[in-house]
Amino acid sequence: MIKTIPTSAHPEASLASGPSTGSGRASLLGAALAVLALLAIPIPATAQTAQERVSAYRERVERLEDQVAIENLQASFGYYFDKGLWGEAAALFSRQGRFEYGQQGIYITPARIERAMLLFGPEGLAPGILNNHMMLQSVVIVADDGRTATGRWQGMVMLGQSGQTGQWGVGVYENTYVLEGGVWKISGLHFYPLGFTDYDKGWMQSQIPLAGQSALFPPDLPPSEVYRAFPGVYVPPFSYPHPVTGESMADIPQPADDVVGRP
Amino acid sequence: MRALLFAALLLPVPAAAQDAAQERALRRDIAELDSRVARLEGYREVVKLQRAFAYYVDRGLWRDAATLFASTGTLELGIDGVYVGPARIEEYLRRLHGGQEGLIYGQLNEWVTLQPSIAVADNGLSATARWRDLGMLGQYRQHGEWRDGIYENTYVVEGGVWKIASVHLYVNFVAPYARGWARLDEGEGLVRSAAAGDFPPDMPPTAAYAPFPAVQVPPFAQPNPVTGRAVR
Repeated sequence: MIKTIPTSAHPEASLASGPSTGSGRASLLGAALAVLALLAIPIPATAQTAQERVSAYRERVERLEDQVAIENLQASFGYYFDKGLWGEAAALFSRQGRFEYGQQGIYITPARIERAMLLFGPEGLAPGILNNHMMLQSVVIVADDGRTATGRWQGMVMLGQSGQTGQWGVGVYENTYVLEGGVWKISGLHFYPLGFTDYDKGWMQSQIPLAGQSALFPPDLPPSEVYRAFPGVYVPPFSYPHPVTGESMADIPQPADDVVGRP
Repeated sequence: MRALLFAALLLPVPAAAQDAAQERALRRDIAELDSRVARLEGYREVVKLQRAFAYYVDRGLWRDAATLFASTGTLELGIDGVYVGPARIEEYLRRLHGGQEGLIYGQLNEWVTLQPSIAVADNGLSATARWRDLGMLGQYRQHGEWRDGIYENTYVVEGGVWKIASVHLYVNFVAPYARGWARLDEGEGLVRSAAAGDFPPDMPPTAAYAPFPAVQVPPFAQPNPVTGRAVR
């Protein structure tokens, strides 16, 4: 996304001085708004300009706050999912939220998602099960209107069952978010695992294929994309445009794969 | 601020002077907000650039990774030396990974990039950042490695767009998965790549250091946030 840097456009920014403390921010904004309220009675032309500018800053600050809220939302999902807190995890989804993990298909609505998560273990997990799904390296882009957002995340995974061998996994999340009732929620969580390997053997010797659709509790829709993980080299499409060129990377060429029938 | 307001309201000053005082106070507030918001946005741009770089290199998108760099941007990995400019960086990245576009079947190339500490300059036009690198590398049926490293990078606004000014990855070790890092011999964990031999860098390495098991402390661009003193 190409953004101009407002600092250079406003020479008076060089007047900025003084320490900026966390507690000072709200009161400073409050003071600025108080001034505006007073100025609002007799409206000089210059004050109108100032009001417009404060309004623009409010929008920019809101977009920054949205990014933090979404990062916390996704981190919370990870912490709940790790520990089998399926109810908590499912509650993070919007009314029509979608959950898609690898090749297991798409589950829609929080109630269906919560039940689908039982495919990963019982509620609260069980002794000896490790289900770590890290949420790392986020690129969160909030729409200009502040109503929707996208996020790409790096998802390292550590799985295991006590007494048996563990697994390392790695993958990418491409998620969407929506502001619903004033609260950011997950509207689509799509985890593309890109490889699982046996802990003892490592990725030189071991590759574990992705699980398919459950016969026990089938998904609402089949997988949105058919691909296979390592040793295949699928490229999950990018939700965000290239930060410098601005080009879309939503539809980039995939390597040929005769197993899934891609030329 | 508030005191000024009350003074302005209570004193019988001419309306024009009162307006002017309020206008000045407002401009001062706005200027400070301007700088702070621009720096917060700069932080976000830096995060996006570096994470995008990792995602592109992960999937073999050499050109997309290289075009994140400024026109004189530099890339330095381990002891391979310094490559300057997007075109050179693109070709170096390509050769470093086998010479082809994208990855080949069985190639694992995860550059997990974590733990940013980012300082955006007061003018909002440049930044430094330290990051942790966790690499999962290899070729199925041939070899597999862990990589550990630290990035000390810089960023700059060029033509109104944030770009990478420099990426410097100090590689602490590249260790075979099976043997692990604890069995590495002296100097084994960091070697010059074949790509750097065939396609020499524009400048020699800027740092001399030994990998794990030697203790390596990449220099800190940023001071200790509590003491404010440089870290040495």
